[in-house]
Amino acid sequence: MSEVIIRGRHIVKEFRLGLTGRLRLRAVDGVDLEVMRGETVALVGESGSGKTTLGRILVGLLRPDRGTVTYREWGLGGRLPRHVRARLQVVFQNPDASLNPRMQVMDILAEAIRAAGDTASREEVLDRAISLLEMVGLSADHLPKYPHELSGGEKQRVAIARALAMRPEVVLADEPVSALDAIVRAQILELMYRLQEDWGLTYIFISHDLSHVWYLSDRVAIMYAGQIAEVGPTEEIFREPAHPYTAMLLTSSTSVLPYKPRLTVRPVGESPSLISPPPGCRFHPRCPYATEQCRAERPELRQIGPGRLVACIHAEKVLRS
Amino acid sequence: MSDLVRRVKAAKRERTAQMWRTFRANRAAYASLYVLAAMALMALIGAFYTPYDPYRIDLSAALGFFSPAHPLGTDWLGRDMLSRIMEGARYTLGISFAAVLLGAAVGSALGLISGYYGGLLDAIIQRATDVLLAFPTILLAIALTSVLGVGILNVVLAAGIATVPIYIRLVRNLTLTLRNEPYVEAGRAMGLSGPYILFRHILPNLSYVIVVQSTYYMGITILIVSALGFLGLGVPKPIPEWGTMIGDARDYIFTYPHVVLVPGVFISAAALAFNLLGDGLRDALDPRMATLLRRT
Repeated sequence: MSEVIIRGRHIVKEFRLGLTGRLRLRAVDGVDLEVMRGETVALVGESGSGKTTLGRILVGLLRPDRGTVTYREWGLGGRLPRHVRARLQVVFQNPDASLNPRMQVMDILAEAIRAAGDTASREEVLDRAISLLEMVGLSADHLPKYPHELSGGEKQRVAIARALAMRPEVVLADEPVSALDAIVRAQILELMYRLQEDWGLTYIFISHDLSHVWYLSDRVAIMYAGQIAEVGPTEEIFREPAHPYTAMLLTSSTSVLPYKPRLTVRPVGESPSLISPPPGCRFHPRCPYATEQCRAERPELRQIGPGRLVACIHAEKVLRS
Repeated sequence: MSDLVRRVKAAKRERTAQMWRTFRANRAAYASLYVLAAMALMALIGAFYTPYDPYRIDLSAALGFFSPAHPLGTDWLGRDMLSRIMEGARYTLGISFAAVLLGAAVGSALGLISGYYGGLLDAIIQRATDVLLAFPTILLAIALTSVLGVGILNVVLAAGIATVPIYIRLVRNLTLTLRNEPYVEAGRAMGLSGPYILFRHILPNLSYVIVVQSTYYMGITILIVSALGFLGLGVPKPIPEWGTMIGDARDYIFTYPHVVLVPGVFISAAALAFNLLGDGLRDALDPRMATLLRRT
């Protein structure tokens, strides 16, 4: 279980804004993260916290400006061999835009099946397409349909089937259920859970809904303003947050959570500008624990328990309170 | 199994049929299809048969009004107007069609490359486009013909190149949007190559915009070709290209207006028909439109 398959080191990603690109928005700022085989690691944070950017970098869809990402023995960042590229797949948030509106489900799946390097005989492609649809709870009846004839949940199932066609090891799920209705959400999450059990998939699960995170993930990485605030096993993070920001997230969550937050941190302020972030700890302007040191020094991620890392100098105080 | 394949194909045909039904529901567009078909037929027949020789001068019949012998009258040299319209149709329509084809092909290709690959190439193409876009299309066409000289091929080149920057900008902007669509990114995650994604995922989703825009530009290009003809920069003289016909007859505009009005009406009709056709195609080919119409 604890074999590391994706290793990100000091990842930095900047986006240039403005006419001359003089403004730089640092979406991800020096992130270290490891992904273990067969686990689900959730990236959690507000919009603009860099979780989507980080997710894309971790599966090699975006190139970091600095730092390295490796998947097993391959470095991500350049062109990958086809069979390696195939093992890192994605499922996106917006099911309406995930499927090419001009292609039938048959064509969408056939393209993926052929891209995976599977046999190109028409019967075999058809067989495989049907078995993929059945895996995600659809049937051969969906093959002739165009995306606009499918419901949101069905579209997302087709998107998952397309990812599975590549026989991936890692699937980046970028808010896969945020755009869906409540009941459909539960069904898709359950499907993802079942597929993981059956195929030993590794998920990088991006979400801002903590109840989804609780349901699906083994580990959580809390992101704030392009940096990781805290990483650890889901259970522990939810029960005993060590970073004041995590506590604030848990306090302000509207979803039903397993633990009543022991520590309540009233949400104040807004997430900072990524173009000119505050000095020191980026959370200090909103943090009830902030001291002089927080305003001056950027806290490093440090270990506070088995598998638990936190970027806060007051973590012990937060845990005790 | 083969039954399933048949159903997939049937659904594909049904989608095409649906597009055709949507198109036919737009009466104006459907009617302009007939108008344009009639004009194309006229151009075709005009190449082999005209009631009179369109170039034969008969001063005794000069400036005749509509009559059984000359349904559209005669011009100041006594040439039969109907014959000249029929002869000129293949020049006006043919040149405009070739020009739009040229503009759309070159402009779309450059726009696709510029939008998808970005970087330095994009910057170079876009700055060049900025320069060309700074001139009105018609001025650009006039400038080009004055460089290239008079001649049928040069009119095609001038009118075609004049529309290239507009296509580049249009296609590039659409490509920029489409290349960030999740299905394109999913394609990249599958390891599909850049050209494959361009042709399979991006081009099909903007091709309808190119088609629709091209029908609009057919209308505009007919006017440009005619304007060049009117200015004496277009198709060389004896050839009765419609715009040239108007230009040559401008002295008679107040005394014998039919000499000017007849080609004028044909030019306007063709331009209008292409515009209406464009509206119909836009509604029929836009996949979002199809869903909307089905729901209502």
